[in-house]
Amino acid sequence: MSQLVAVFHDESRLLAAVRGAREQRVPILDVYTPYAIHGLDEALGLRGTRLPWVTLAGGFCGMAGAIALQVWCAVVDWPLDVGGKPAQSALAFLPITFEATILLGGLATAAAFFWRSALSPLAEPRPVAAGVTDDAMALVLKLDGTGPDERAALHELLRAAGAGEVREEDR
Amino acid sequence: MSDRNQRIVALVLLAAGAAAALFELWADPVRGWADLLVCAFLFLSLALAGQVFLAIHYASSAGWWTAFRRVPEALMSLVPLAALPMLAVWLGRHSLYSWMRPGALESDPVLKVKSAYLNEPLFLFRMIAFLALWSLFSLLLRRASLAQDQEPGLVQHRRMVRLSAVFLVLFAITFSLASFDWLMSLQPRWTSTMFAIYMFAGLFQAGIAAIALAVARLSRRDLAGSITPGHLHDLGKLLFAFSIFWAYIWVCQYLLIWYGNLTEEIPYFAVRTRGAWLPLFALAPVLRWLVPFVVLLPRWTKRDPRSLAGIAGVVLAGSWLDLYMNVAPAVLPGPRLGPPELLIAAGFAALLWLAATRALASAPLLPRNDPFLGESLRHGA
Repeated sequence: MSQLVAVFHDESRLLAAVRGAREQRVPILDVYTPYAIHGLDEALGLRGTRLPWVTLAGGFCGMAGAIALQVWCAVVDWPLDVGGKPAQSALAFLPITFEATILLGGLATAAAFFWRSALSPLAEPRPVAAGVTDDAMALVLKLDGTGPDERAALHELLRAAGAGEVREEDR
Repeated sequence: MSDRNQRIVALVLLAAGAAAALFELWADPVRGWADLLVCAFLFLSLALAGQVFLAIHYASSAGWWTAFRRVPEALMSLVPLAALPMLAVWLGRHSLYSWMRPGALESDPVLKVKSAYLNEPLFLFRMIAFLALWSLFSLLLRRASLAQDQEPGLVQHRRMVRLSAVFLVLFAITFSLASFDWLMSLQPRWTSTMFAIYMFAGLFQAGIAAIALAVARLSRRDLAGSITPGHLHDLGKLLFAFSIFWAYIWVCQYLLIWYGNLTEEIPYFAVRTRGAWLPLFALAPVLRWLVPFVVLLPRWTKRDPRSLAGIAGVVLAGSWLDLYMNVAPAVLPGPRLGPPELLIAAGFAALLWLAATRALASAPLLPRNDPFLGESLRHGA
């Protein structure tokens, strides 16, 4: 797959290039930035994240698991008399249920994020351009199916938007 | 409704509230003083919350909030005014505080030990000292802020940062002691180590609700164009977060006292969860946590001025009920909710509205020469 990488050192120029590419209906593969840039999601026209659904599912599993474990231990399998309270004192189960809900919700969110972003400690880093984890921002456009004239026009567009470096590459 | 008509309605409500308070103090002093203590404490809490909100943002060099800085500042400037109804509660001390009745401290061995701290002269001394201290910082901060409008430069800004940092430390100590004196000592044998933070959580959540309500309203009127959906979104997030914080503290206090089931701790909840008190006791967490939590969960409800203002109103009603449930069950045999409670609360709300709009009108709505103003106007745009 051939792609066009344009490197920027300024947020506003990057945003202008993203808007320009979208106006000309050039498919944008991705944008790499070292930090979150306000307005970039809107400029890229990204749909809302679906990550909260993973959080909800993970949190629900944590809640159900914690309640099941505590009820089984303290009510079904081995009832204990604690301060004369009934074995099934739901309020006493609250702290552990609360913590387990947050723990599993958080772990599920992090795991889903790493999986979808193809991040892992074992993955070999393949930065799209030098400096995208430091002070540079890279816009990556899809080139498949574009003719030489269109490519030249794209180079012109990106240069005009203020890209410091524009190059084509095959991955 | 025009501004003039709003003022007339507020003045009528204020007069009706004052008349209801005077009538109730004559007809049933305990009920009247309980209502006044609830409203005076809530009024003072809202004013102080403006001061704490401002101080936290100065101490942490926050830049997002400057476009609506005058709103918490207007609340803050009401602290000296809000001190007066609180001082008036001193006149009703014998109706409210059982430990102040003659012989109460001597006849009870537990209270006898506490009397080194819990006695009438020291109670009055602390009340005057705390109210004077908070009023002093309110005046100093307001003066520096108005001076900044006249002179470019960072001199007044740095003064605000220093005053804010000192105020926050002093406030943490003095407000804790004030909550012990004015509310916890209503049941003098009872203690809770969660009580001060419980009252602070209530103060800050109610204050954020009041600020969000005012900013949402101003965003469609005088501050249109300066307040972005980003400001409302962040105020909504703060209200959401501190609704959860309040619920967390509430549960911590309830859970530990319920679990321990100790003779000196349990009466507080035993009284409040019996008979006609129980529905009101259960309603407070619904208004202060469940409703704001569910409604403020989606993104758009935090960014829409109408829904944010609506939920802020629910939280403020819940704040009143929460304080009522701290005061009334300690002094009344059963809940007595009727026109007096409604009128007195409406009177205080009208007084707050009149004084706050006056404070807002007395200075430019957008602060001049603030180093963070540019950053704030671009916030979320």
